[in-house]
Amino acid sequence: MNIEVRHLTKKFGSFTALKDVSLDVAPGELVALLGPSGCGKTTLLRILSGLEFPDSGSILFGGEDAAAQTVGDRRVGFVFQHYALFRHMTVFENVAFGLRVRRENRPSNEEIRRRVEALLALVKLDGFDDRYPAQLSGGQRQRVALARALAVEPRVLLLDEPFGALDAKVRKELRRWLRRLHDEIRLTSIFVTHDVEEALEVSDRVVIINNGRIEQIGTPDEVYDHPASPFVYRFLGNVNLFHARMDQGRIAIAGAGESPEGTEHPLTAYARPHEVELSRDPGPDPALEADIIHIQTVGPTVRIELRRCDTGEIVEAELTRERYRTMACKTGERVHIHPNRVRIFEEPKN
Amino acid sequence: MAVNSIRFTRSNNRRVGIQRFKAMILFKKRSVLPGFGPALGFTLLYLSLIILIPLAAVFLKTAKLTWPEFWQTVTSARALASYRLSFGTAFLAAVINTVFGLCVAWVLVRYRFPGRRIIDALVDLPFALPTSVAGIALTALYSNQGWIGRWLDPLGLKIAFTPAGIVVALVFIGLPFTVRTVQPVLADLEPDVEQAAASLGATRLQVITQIVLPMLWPAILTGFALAFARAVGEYGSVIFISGNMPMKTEITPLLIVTKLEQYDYTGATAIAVAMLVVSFILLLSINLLQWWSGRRTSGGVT
Amino acid sequence: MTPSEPVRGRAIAAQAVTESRAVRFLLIGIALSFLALFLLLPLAIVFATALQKGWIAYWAAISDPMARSAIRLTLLATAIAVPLNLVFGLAAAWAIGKFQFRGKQLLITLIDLPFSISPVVSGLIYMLVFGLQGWFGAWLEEHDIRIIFAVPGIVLATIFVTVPFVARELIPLMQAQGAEEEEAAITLGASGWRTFWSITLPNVKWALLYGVILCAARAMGEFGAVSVVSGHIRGLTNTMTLHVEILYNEYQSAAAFAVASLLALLALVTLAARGSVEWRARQQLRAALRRSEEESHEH
Repeated sequence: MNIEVRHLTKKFGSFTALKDVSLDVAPGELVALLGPSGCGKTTLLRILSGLEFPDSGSILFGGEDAAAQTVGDRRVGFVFQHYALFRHMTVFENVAFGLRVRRENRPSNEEIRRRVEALLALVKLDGFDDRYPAQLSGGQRQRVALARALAVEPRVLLLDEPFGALDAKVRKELRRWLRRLHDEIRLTSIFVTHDVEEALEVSDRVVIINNGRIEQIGTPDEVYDHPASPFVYRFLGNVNLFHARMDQGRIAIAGAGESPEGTEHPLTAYARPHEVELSRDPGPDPALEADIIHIQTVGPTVRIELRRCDTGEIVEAELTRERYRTMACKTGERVHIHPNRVRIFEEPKN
Repeated sequence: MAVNSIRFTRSNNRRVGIQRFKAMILFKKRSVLPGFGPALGFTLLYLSLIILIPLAAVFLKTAKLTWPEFWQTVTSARALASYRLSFGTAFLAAVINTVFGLCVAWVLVRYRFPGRRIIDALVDLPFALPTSVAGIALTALYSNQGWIGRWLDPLGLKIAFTPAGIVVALVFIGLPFTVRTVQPVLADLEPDVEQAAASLGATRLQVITQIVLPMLWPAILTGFALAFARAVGEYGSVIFISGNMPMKTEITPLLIVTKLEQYDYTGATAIAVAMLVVSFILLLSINLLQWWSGRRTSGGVT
Repeated sequence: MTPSEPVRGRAIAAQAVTESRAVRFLLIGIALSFLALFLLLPLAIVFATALQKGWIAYWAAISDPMARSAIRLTLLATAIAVPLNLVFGLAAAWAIGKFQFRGKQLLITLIDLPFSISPVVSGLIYMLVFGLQGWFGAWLEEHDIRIIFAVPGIVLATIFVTVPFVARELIPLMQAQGAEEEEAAITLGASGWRTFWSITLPNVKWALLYGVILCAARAMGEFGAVSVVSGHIRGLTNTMTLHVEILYNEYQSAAAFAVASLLALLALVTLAARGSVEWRARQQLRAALRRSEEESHEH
């Protein structure tokens, strides 16, 4: 089912959680709401579920205005960040709850048993029926929460930081598993996360939110390769900043002495550490000089910290081990920096 | 169809409007959980009927007095003597309770010895034992033929029917307050803080006076204030052991009862108002203390 | 031979968190003597004096018609006060624990108010409302309804002093538990009542039971407030605690202590029941606090 969000605004006291947010989600899509904590992404999710109410704007589920629908009518499956499992009920009763509380066409006990067993098999928890939530690991609780949400045959699945409370290894396993599960059942799903890797790895499309506004919507490749704003660029990974200026129609990185303030449009060039090349000769383009102050090998890559000779600013470069070996640079050495792929944004006015 | 949808939106807007109006009145954030209105309504109605309206009666009754009349009643020699006695004995009892309560809490939290669990449960006895039972039991113990009184009498020490007896009764009823406010705070103290202090060369006495006690201060003060507040208003356990001599061993609550028995309702009410004002001030300071201690203990973590 | 480093380190750590043997024994000694003097001896003398004249006199004292009517009245007042305060406690805790609204702290303070009011004043305020010279005195007299110096007054005074007990056990627990489980139930299609009965109530059952025990114990043991409104009419408006007072003032010491021993037994039963229930209730609260703390740390 498709979801249309139109001009949502929500305030908590004097704090604006969402400002004029609009969003379309296609049927069967898996969408990530990504942003720093406090950016409003959870508020958006809770408004979608009906747990929170917008100050203005509307939500359409399959073309129908959701404002008239109560939480129960919306048929959304909501997976809470801390699972919110019913701690006094067994795993089986947790999953069965949504079926047992139906006022109309409640399934028979046998039908409930059959469906709960099937769901527990789907989330790979067969045989855990009689356990209590306290007896499960974090990852298992997460899957019970998911099974419980799926039991009511929701039209939309909403997940709030689904892997937030898990340790790194389980997180990784579980998000791949969620991706496969989604490919299997093709349920329109939206999840909230502050973890960039998670959003880029799992989702069909990423919605990047900052300060209650949507910064960019796009596929993981689009947002990573073509960030729409400095915020998105910074948020998606480490970044080096260079002052730049327009020089006869060409963009040039400003060195010391050339003040960018003098030009009409002060610009900033952004380059990721792996997009910074190091070399011993200046090369054809004028390059910046810098001293290597620290070298650190992290797994397959080598991180090099440099200090620019002109401004004293710190630049970070990331080389493959291979490249590092052939170059064989050392701490204290003076080298040239070539940002080989930069993205230019106008500098903020202040 | 179009008309329908417009009407729908309008009624919807109206509903949202009403909701918002309700939210404004109740200063409440809208929630999906039902029952806030009835639950809060019942709570307020019940509180009003049982507590607030009857309490208002006291103040309205006093309002019939002129200020000089009121002042004369609440500052009569007999009333003043009763305040001195009530507050003096309550203060002394709270001090004793603070010292020994700290000791009891410390022993219960820090040491292991046989019967600890039972002793721990017994600390609440003054909460559970009716005050009149406590009153007659203490009187029986400390009267000159009692189990304790008979040993003190030859030494010239009289407890029952003197202010000392009142202090004994107030120590009894106030003890759980000081123990039970200090105990959980003491139990939650991280031992590594003390270990850190010791590793920096502090002696055990320095650790206790400079590390542990400062962390316990808010709880100790709160316990003191709770014990004091309870003791000021106490009636049942005191009237048996105090002897009830006007000007000498007559506590303020008893003075109120005496006035009531003489059908001096206004006099009783005036003194009750004086007591209520003191109770409210104590309640306020206890709340402030708890707010302060809550901030001190949790503020550092988050 | 010098002790190796880790052993010395452990010795320092052990020293850091406890005192020398002598100090420990001294402190335990002081604490136990204090408790024995102030708690055990009063308890012991109640039973000792009660049985001073033998079991027959004991039985006579507690099966006396006046004593029996006092027991009946005490149970009646408790049976009315506890359910009312239970419903009140649930309603207050639901509103305070599950919703955000302004003035919450003030409301909590108001609920605690009876704790800080002298029992005598608690009785007095009902005299001023329902007594002969009170607000409704004339009207009540006209319609021949008696509240003060009658059973309704005793029930009202008992309710007043026990208002906070259930509420103050439930409010911190329900605040710590938050509303997430209830929200989960609602998203799964459960109705409000269903959510309350099958999610909220099971989650607070121990605290609820604990609150009820405290409330009942206090209701049966209340003396000051009841004393003011009762009028001490034997066989009619005498509760157990008042009966103890009357017997004692008439120098029927053994009989007074016999009835008092029933109340003391009740106190001991309360303490024992508390022991087990309170432990569970504390566990429940601790678990909820731990969870909410973990959650707030992640944000």
